[in-house]
Amino acid sequence: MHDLTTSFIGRLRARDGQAWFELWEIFGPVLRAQLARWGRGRIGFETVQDLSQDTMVALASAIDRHDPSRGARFSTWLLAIAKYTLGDEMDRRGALKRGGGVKPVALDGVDGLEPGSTKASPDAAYELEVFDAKVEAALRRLEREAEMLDFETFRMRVLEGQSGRSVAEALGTSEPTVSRRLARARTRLQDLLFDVFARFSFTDEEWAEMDRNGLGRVPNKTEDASFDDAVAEIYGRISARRASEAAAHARRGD
Amino acid sequence: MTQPLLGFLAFAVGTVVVLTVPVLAVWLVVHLVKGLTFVAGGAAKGVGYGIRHVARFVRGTVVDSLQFGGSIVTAAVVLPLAVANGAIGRFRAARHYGAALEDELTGALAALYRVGLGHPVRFLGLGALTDGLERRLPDLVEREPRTADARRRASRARVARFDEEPTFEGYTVQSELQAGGSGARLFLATPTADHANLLASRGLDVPSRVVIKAFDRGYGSTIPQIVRESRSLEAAKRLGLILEHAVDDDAFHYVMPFVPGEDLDATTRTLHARSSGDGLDARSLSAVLGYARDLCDHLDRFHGEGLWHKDIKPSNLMVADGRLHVVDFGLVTPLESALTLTTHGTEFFRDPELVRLALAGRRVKDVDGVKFDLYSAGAVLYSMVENSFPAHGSLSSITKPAPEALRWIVRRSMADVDKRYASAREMARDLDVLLAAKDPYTVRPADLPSIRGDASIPPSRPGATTVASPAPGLGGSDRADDLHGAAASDDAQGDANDVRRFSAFGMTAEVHGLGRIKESIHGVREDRRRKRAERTAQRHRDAAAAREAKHEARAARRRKRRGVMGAVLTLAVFVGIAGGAGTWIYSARQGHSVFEGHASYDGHGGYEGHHADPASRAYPVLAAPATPPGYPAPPKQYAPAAETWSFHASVETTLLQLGDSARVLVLTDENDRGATRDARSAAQRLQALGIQPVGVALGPGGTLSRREVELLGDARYEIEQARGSVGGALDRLEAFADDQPMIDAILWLDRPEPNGYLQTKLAIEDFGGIRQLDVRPAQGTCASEDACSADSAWTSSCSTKSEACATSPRIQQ
Repeated sequence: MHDLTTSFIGRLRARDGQAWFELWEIFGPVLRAQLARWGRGRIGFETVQDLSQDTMVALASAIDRHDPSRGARFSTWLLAIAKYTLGDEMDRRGALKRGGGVKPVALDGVDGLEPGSTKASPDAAYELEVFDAKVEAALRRLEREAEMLDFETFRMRVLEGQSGRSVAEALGTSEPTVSRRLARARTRLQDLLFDVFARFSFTDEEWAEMDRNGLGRVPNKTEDASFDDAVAEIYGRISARRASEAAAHARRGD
Repeated sequence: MTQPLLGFLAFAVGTVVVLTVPVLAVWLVVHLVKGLTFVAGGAAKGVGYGIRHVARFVRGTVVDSLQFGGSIVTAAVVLPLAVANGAIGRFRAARHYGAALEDELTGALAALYRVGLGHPVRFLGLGALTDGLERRLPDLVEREPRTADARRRASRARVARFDEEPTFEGYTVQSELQAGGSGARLFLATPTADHANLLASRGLDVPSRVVIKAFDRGYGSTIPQIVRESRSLEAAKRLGLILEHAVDDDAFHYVMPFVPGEDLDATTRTLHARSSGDGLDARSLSAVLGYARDLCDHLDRFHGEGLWHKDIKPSNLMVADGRLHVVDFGLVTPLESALTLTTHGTEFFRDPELVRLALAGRRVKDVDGVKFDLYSAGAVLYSMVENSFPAHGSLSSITKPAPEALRWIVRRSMADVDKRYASAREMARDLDVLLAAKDPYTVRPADLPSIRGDASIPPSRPGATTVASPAPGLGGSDRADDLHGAAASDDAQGDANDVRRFSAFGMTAEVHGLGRIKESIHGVREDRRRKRAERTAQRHRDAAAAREAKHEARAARRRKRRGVMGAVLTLAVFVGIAGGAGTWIYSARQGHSVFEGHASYDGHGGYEGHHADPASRAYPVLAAPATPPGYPAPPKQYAPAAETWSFHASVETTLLQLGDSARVLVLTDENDRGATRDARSAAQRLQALGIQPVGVALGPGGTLSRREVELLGDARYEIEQARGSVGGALDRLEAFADDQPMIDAILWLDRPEPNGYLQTKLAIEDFGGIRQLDVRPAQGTCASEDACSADSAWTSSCSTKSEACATSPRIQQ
C-alpha cells in the first residue's frame, strides 16, 4: 500500500474533518448512484441520501477496524459497507412491516458484507464510477491549484476539444503559449492523478488502473495526445452521468 | 578619360541591374505566392462555410422535424386527458393537461414553421426576411391575454387551504401564496387607504399590493427561524425590501412590496422554448445577459451595504417588466457577522467550499461572503444558458451554444475562491462588453476587461505605465508577455525595451517612450470605449424594460377587453372546439404561473429539514465522523422537541446567542434515574434551537478519551456532591472547556434535594472564564409526573414543589 494511502487512512482514523469531507465529496455521488441501483426503485431519493450518509457513518466506525493486509480493493471496501448499510435499512423495513421478526434481505455478493472482505463482486458500472470519481477529484484539484488561464486552456483544448488556434484566439494569446500552458496543466494533472490514486487504492490492481487507462506519467508527445484523449473521454463520461442525474432531478421536481 | 568613365558607369549600371533583377524577381514571386495563398485560403474558407451552412440546415431540419413529430404524438396523448378530466369535473387537472397541450402544440407549430420556412429561407441567405416574424410572433403568442378571473380563482383556492384567515392591521389580505421552508406563511394583501397614507407620510413609496411574510408559533414557526429572519430586518429596510414589521410574543410579520411576474426558472424555460431548441437565439441571449447584469447590480447593492445574500438561486429571482428582482432575503447575513458559518443555501447554487468552511467551524467574518454570492450568480447564469443547474459544480460543461466570452464569465464566477471575480461590479463590466456587442459570439474572452487587466485605467502619475497588469489569480505572466511584449516587465526593463530605432541614409535615430505614448492613447481610447459600451448597454436595458412594460400594459388592456371572450372560448374547449382551446388553456396556465412565482419568496430552510436541498441535511450527520479524536460523538437525531418543553427564557436567549451549530456539552447526574429522560428532552430542545448537543451519553462506551472521562467524572461528582452550588467543579469544567475549543457551552441538568426540581445550569466560555448564567427550574418539568396536571400552564413564579406541580404540564416523554 502506498504511503499516501496509509497517511490518509490515518487522518480518517484521527477523525480529521477535512479528510472525511474529501472522502464524502469524491465518493458521495458514487455511493448514491450505487444505492439507487440496488434499491431498484424500492427506495426513494431521500432514502438514498440518508443511506449514503449512514454509509459514511458506518465507514467512520469501520475505518478503525480496517486491516490493509487483507488486500481488499478500496472500491470493494466502500461497496461492502454501503451494502451493509442498505441491508440494515431493508431489515429495518422488513421488521417494521411484519411487526417483529427480521427477515434477511437477498443481496448479491452477501459474502462481501464484511468490511475488508475480498469476496464482494461489485459490478463494472460501479467500478467505472469509482475510477471516474478519482479522475474527477484530480480535475477538481487541478482547477483549484492551477493558474486559471492554465486550467482554462486545458479545459478548452482537452475537455472541450477545441483546436490550439481557436484557444489562442479566444484567450488572445499565441499558440506556443497555449502549448506551454497545456503542458503545465497536464504535468500538474498527472501529479494530482498520482496523488489521488495513491490515496484511494488499497491494492496494486487498483493502483495499476491509472496506467491501464492511459493516465500514467508520459514521456513524449505522442503519449501526451493519448493522455489528453483518455482524460477527455472520462470527463465526457462523467458529464453525461451528471447530466442524466440532473434530468432525473428535474423530473422529480426537486 | 571619357572612355574609362563610361566603362565604369556601364560596369556600375550592369552591377546594379544584375543585383536588382533577382531581388525584384524574388519579391515578385513571394508576393505572387502570398496572393495565391490568400486566394486559396479564401476559397477554402468559403468551402468550409458552405459545408457548415448546409450542415446547419440539414441538422436544423432534421431536429425540428423530429421535434414536430414528438410534439404531435405527445399532444395526441394529452388531449384526451384534458378533455376527459374536464368532462368529469376535475377542472384543475384539466387545466394542467390543457397547459401541457398548449405547450406541445406551440412547440409543434414553431417546429413546423422552422422546417417549412425558417430553415429554407436562412439556407438561401435571406434570414433577414423572417427575422421580424420570428422575433415578434413568439412574443405575441407569449403575451396572449388571459382573464383576470383565472388569477382570482387560483388565489381563492389557495386561501381555502387554511381554516383561519389571519388579519394584519392596515392591510386587507387577498390570498395566500405558496410558502417555502422557513416556517412562515405568505399573504398577498393591499394596504388600506388610511394605512397607505400613513406609510406615505413616512416618506415610503407605497405599492398597491404587498406580500406579508408571517411567522407564528401556531403555524409551526420556531424561535430560531424567527430570530434568523428578524436579524436581516434592518438591512432589508435599508435596501427598501421591506416596508414595515411587527412583532409580539408569539408572532412576527413583515411587509414587502409585491413583485408581479414569474421566477427566473420559468422565464428560462420560456426563453429556451421560444428559441430553436439548440441554445438561446439572439433575442433570448440578450435577455439573459440583461438579467445577469441586473443580478450583478442587486448584488453590488447588497455587498455595498455590507450584506451577504447567501441564497441566490433562480427561484429567488423574479422577472417583471423585463427586469430581474431579488425577492427573498431570509438568509441575508452581515458580511462582518461574528456568527459561526452555517451550511444554509441551496445545493448546486452554493459553493461547496462554503460547506467545507462551515464544517471547519469558521465564522462569517473570516470568509469572503461576496465571493460566495458571485459563485451563486455564476451558477444562475449557467442555469439560464443551459436550462439546467450545474450538477457538476464548477466543472459543469456548457453544452448549449453560447459565446465563448459568456462561458468564460460563468467559469470565472464559479472558479476557485482566489480566482473568482473580486466583486459583482467586476463581473458586471464583463457582461457589459457582451451586452454592447452587436454579435456577442464575436466577443472573445480576451476582450473582457477582467482578462485584459487594468488597461483601461489611465496612468495615475506621470511616467507610470498603463500596460495591462494581469488580472489577479489568472496567472498572467505569459498573458502579459503575449499581449504587450517586454513592456509588461518592470520600469527599467520597460525603458530598455521601449525604444524604436529608425535607420535612413546610414544614420540611426532612437525614439524613447513611443510605446508608452501609444499605450496612453490606447488607454484613453479604451476608457472612452468602455464608457460608450456602458451607455449603450444601459440604453439597451432601458429600451428592453420599456418594451416589456409596453407589452404588459397592452396585455392588461386586452385582458380587460377579452374577459367575456375568454369565457366563451373556455366553454368552446369543453365542447371540443380546438380553435378556442388556446385562450382558455393559456388563461389557466398563467394563473398557475402566478402561483409558482410566489413560491419563490421563501426557499431556505434550517435544521428541521424543510429545505429542498438534501445536502444541507447531510452535513450535520456528516460532521459526526469529522469529530476530532477524543471528542464526544454527536447524539442520535431525536424526534422534534416537544413544544411544551423548553429552558428558561434567559437560558434560551443565551443559547440562541451562541449561533447556529454551536456545540453544547450536556452533563447529567448519572445517579438520577430520570437523568436520561432529562438529557433526552434537553437534547431535543437544543436541536430545535439549532444547537448541537454533545456528550449526552457519557457512560461506558462513550467516545471521550480516558483522561477527559476522568476529568468530567470528577467534575460531575463534585457537582453532584455540591447539589446546587457549582463550587470547585467549575474550575475543572473550565479546564475542560479551555482544552475543547469546539465546546461553546456546558449545560448541567440536575435535580437537587430537597424539592427534586430539575435545574439547568448553563455555563458559557466568557473570555477565559466560565461564567455561570442561570440556576433556575426548567420550564415544564417537575420531580413527579403524577403530581402534575396535563393541561395546566407553568409559571416562573412557582417556588415550591406543590405550586410548580399544580401549574406545570406533564413531562413529555
